[in-house]
Amino acid sequence: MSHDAKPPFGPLNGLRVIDLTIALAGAFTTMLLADLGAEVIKVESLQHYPTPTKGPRVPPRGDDPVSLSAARDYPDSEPGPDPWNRLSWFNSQARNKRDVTMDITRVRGRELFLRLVEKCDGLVENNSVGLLEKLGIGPEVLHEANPRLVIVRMPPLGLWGPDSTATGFGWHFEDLGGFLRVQGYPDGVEVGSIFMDGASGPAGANAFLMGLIERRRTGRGMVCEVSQVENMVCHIGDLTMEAAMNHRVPRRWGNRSPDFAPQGCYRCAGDDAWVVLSVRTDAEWSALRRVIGDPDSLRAPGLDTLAGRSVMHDAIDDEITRWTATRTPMDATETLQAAGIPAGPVLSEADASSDPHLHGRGFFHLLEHPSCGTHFHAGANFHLSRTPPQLWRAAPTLGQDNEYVYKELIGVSDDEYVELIAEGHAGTDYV
Amino acid sequence: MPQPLRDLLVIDLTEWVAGPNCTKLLADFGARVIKIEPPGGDPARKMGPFPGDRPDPECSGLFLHLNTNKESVVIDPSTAEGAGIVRRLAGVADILVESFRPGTMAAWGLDPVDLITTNPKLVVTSVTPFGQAGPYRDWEMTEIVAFAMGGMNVSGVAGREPVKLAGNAVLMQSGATACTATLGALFHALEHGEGQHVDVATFETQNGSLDRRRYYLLSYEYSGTVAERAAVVGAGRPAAGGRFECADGKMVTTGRIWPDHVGRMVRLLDDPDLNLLWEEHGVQVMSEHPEVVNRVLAGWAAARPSRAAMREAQAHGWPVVVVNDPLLLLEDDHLCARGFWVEARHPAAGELVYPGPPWRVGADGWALRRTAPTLGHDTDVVLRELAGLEVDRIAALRAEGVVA
Repeated sequence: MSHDAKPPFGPLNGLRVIDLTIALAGAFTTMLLADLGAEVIKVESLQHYPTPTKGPRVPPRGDDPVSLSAARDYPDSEPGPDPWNRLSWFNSQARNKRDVTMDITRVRGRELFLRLVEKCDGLVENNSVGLLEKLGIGPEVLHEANPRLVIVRMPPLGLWGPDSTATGFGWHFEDLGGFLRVQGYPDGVEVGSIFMDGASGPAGANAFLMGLIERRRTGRGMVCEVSQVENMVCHIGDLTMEAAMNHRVPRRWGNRSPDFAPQGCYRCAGDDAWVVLSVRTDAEWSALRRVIGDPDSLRAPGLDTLAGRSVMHDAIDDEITRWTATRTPMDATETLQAAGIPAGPVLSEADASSDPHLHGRGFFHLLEHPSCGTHFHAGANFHLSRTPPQLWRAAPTLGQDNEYVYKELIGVSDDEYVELIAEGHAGTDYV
Repeated sequence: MPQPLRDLLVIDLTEWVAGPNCTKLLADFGARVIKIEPPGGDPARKMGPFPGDRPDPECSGLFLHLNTNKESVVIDPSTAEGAGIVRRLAGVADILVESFRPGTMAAWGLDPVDLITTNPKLVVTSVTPFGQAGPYRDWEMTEIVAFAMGGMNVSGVAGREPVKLAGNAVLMQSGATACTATLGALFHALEHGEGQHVDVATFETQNGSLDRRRYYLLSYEYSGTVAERAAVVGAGRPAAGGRFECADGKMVTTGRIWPDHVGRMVRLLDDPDLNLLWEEHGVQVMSEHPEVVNRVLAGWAAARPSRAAMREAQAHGWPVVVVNDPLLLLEDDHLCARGFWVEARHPAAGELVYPGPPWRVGADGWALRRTAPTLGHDTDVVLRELAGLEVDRIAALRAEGVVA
């Protein structure tokens, strides 16, 4: 066995998944599968530098905002001689995965790749439509090599349809997906997000798991398609329902809500310190009034209903802010929650990194990385009582698992492996 | 291809948004999902949107979206008889999903450990705000709280308050993650006959999401720096580029134009002024002459319908897309050509338009077999056929208010 053998764990223990993903969406899917115990093998090529996945090959250096912003993604703000191994963007989701290099654009590389496919149960990719086919590894070829392969393809607009070949970044697809017109400040200032990547991860994993369940019956693999935009739209299904029911564009509510009032984000004592709260019921409204000292202005009987409070929301916000402004977000939250009111501090990454609840539940794991050192990493997004997720290694460096994959999985001889190094298939540096 | 979860029985004790989205995904891909509602119904029934803005527990757009393909059975699990029925149903189920405050199930005699002891292959998934243990265990959560505690600090404009995402997106993503964990545990149960308890906390699904939060957390560990608010927003407000109105009155967006794409854009626009500036400045034209770029872009967009503009730019390798809002989405040419929108008639809410498959397994696997259930629509059938109760017994329980 290789020196860092993956311990057997998780419900997908014994299953192997090829990761041909770029950037984050597909990589989030394979991370979830790795946390469920699958052996995920990221396949890269030394001849193709994947900027969307590993960041700039030569990161900008300097005191300008762009350089400083880029530097924060590297340990001690230092990209180092191998920035592709040191990028938080990649390392945050690649822990628990393996990494092998082979140039599948060449005959021998493609042949090695198909030998690996024979040893695997799944393949996940989120490249633009047609890329696998162009590389000569379309689904028919893959299923010929391994009929049991569950293939998950995650193009932004699906595999077919008039605009399926359209490309773009997250911000394009959020606008196409209808998010930006309903997201942001009520005064009209729009706020973007990169929600699609976060939504696509579980979608791809769910598609894979359902494919796996079907394969138990039939013994055959299949192609699962995740249209990332369609999946994202399902996450605002209540808003598309509103559009269809009432033939209108839903309001841009900002931090307010059509169902709860008051609801908002309120300034607290401290720099950029905020607490949020929602009042869902009239009982919670009474509780909130008591918590903030029962100000006279909030005793009007009209405020006993959601409709009344919605009309007077600005005045209510002023009273709430008067109370929160002298408290820290956590103090305010604890008081509000003790009274049964949904509330929470706005937690920065720094706050969350030292959060007692997350640490108490074992969410963060210390992992040692050959190039980055030892850092806390966010762990699995779920707990399973009998087959608990394990964080068994930090993100792999480029080609870290070449020997394991080539020799132990594919059965390449020592002599042949030397040739693969000489030919630029196996290696640990981009060409 | 038949539906992948076609032979599974799921007992659904979830409410609001996150848990119901988990069981919706199971139901939409073929599982038989028995939604057990308290006598007053899932509180999401009281949340809008409503047709004509008239509140009606049978017409909540949120509820109708999240409860497709489910059967509704009204049982009060806080009564001994009600809990007994739930126990009986759990005894024949593959999966039970619940979203009560931790400890509630145990207090009703429905402790997940006991349910699994009785039915060793059962997967019990708890989808809760903060999980089954930890100092915040008993705290309440809404959509805005979920986002506040996991990423809202970077959402918005610097100097203003952080702002939440659209609708209930964060809670729905948490439910989708709960579905992942549940299917993982189910696969183990199918392979080894061993069930287990799955503990999903929205606090963790959100801090662990790759809507950037997970990545920002490691950046903080690496360099001690916190992402700025607007870090992801800046992408949408470039000096040159952005949204432009087209001949059909709809908009297209270029987003922030990537340096690699500027040349392709210039070639397609083929404007004499812009060509000269491009030859002189290259990519810097975007920062040095944004007014020229924007003028040419506006003229180009105004001369063609939005969809044609998108396709023309895309054919030149330059990412431009149409801008939709939820209303425009319903008539989006691409989504409609794929048959994404599914029309169905609901007995109380009338004609509905549902979003279709979030993914496909093989040829499809997703189906809208029935719209969301009216309250208690399936109580009698389920109590008779699955719980094995006689008609007289059901009537007696109904008189006592245990079922409805």
